[in-house]
Amino acid sequence: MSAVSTLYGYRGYATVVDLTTGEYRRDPIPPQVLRATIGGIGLGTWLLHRYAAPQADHDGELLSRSARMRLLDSALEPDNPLIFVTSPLVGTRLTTSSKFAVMTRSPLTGFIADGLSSSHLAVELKRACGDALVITGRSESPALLRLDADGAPHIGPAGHLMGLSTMDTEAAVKLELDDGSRRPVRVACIGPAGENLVRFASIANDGGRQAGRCGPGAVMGSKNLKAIAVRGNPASDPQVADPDALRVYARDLSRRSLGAATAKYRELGTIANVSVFNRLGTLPTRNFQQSTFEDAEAVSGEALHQTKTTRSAHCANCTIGCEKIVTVGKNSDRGEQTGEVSARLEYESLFALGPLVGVGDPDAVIRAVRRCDELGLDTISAGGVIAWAIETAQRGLLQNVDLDNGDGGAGLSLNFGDGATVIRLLDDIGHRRGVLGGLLAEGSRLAAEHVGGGSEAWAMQVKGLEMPGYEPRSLKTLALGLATTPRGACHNRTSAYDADFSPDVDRLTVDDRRGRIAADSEDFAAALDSLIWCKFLRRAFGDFWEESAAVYRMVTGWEDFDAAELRRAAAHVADLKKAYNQRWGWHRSDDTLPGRTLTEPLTDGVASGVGLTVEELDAMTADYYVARGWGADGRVDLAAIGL
Amino acid sequence: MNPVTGDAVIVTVELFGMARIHAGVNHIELAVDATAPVAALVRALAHECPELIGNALCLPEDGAVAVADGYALNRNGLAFLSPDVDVPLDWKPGDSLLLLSNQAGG
Repeated sequence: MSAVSTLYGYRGYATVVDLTTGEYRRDPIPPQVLRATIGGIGLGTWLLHRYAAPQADHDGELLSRSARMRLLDSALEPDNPLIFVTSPLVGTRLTTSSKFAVMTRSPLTGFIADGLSSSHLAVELKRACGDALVITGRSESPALLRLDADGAPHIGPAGHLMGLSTMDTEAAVKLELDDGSRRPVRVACIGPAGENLVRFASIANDGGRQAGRCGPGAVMGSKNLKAIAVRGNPASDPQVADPDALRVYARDLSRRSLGAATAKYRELGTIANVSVFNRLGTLPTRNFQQSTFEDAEAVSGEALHQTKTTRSAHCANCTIGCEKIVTVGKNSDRGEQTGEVSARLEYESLFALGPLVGVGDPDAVIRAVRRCDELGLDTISAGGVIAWAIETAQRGLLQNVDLDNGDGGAGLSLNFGDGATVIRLLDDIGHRRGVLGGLLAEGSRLAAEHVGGGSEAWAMQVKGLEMPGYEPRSLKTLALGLATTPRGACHNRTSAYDADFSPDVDRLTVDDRRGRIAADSEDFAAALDSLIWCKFLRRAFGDFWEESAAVYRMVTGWEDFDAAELRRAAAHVADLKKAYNQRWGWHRSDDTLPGRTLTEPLTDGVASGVGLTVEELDAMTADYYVARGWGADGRVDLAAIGL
Repeated sequence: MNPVTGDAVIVTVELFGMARIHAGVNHIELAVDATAPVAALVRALAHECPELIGNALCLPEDGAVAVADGYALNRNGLAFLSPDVDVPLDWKPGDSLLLLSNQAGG
């Protein structure tokens, strides 16, 4: 590594705040660590190791169910750090670069929770806190953590904010801290779901963007931290090593970002997936009992574009504008659901609160998405656990007491396609109201373990994280990615579906190339998520690795950093993530898919009759471990990677 | 447009995303040779639905019609087709050609 006296692109430290004591400090981050882990999720994983609670010593153990439960609950203890991490690109104004990672240990999975979110908060975090903000401890009472230009934290009361939605919390904090400055504070906050420790509660920022998956909002709630308000000093922006070259590159990348490579995201947004996935037999419907949905056209991106009021929105410093804000009017006859409502609509939210729960009324879906954002709930997990509950009730395994929602009535009747009940359940979950709300707030894995009766087989989760809107039986490469990715069932930490949606593989069958493809796609995602680029930009690059390494050189001045080193860094991030899970009790049996996926062939659509066997998944998984250089038991050698 | 000279079959071109919006229809039926390569279908599609030129379809400098960057082709919802491999295909009545975005993420 070349010697440079000035640190470009980074601040070189993390701000560490202990909510128990109110103390804070700045911990240096060595340049060699920054270079080896890049930033974002890579650096965040290294920080998770650094600040891990002392009981992270379960490598090689086969945990009992009760031991695993204790570890899940311990994610809500004060010593579980909640970490916000920026990247070397934040502040450069490169398109899509205003992003940050939210890292913690998940109360839903017990393993790594590595979320991403975007926009102005990323810039302010880097100005005020350095490369990361590490929050430990627990406030005695509800708290608002304010970080100003000097980086010193101010912990104030937040009792008056408790119970507010994420939108209302952000608005209230901005109003409260308005000093007449032209630059408002930027806010991260939780809604009622985070306050009530719902295991899949999200953290919202910048008008409704969500670090949604794996329950970081519950961790924030467990710290009695309702909101974080940040306003840094623009003079603190780190210098880049070659601003002239970066300026030229930034213009060119922005131009490319407006071309064909991002057309889908700019024009219809990710909701364009619905009609395509339905046709390809990979749209999970009614709790993955079907792979097509008869009302898919009604909730398709094309239909919403033509029939609803839709506008695009951008994150800060983004030229793509993938967000589609869809508004439904005062045309509902469903009592409390009436009134104009707008929601930021993504494919995953649309799938989870539409086809997955059998709802084909677009207004009902949009209202449900909005309700999740208000409550601070991960839409995918919310839809997933509700879909599990509906099927479980239909199979007679949820008794009246379970269906009690706390209003003294006879309990809910659960049926696929009932949008009003879905919204009711979201409220019950977000407030842990009634037996059913409390049960579902635990997530589908724990709910199924509680109910039993074989319902674990149709709890559609991996490592406790509910499945995204991609049917793994008809996307075999992604099936492997979902089974093995440390986060759990996540399509964003593996982009293995790119191979399935290409001529390169037969997505309906397996072969011995999938392990390599899945590992490579995971490395690609790790590089994107560490630098941090938006994934929707990924096809706008020529040679991603060469180009990103060049950008990294322009920013950091480390002239000998090349594409090969970036690839090594990405693979190192994968090792670090796996190692983190091992320390918290990961076992080979955790790298699997839900029972339904491995025992029931698809029954509809173009992939009807196609299944995935345990043997097929095991063979692909073994190939993946070889591609990763891990042992046959899937374990990474902690000492070999410096842990 | 090339005339159909051999055994003709009706192939349904299914449109997704902005291709559907631009065309104003969900699908278009084309009569093509039973062994027509994909390029012939794309030419026939451009003839039937010129609204697609400039977005889902493009006119390279050689005057041929091609699928635009950012789009992909799939046969019958099963196999994705390589846009640069233009071998004759064995079309059967009822077959479909899907024109969709090549960006699968979400």
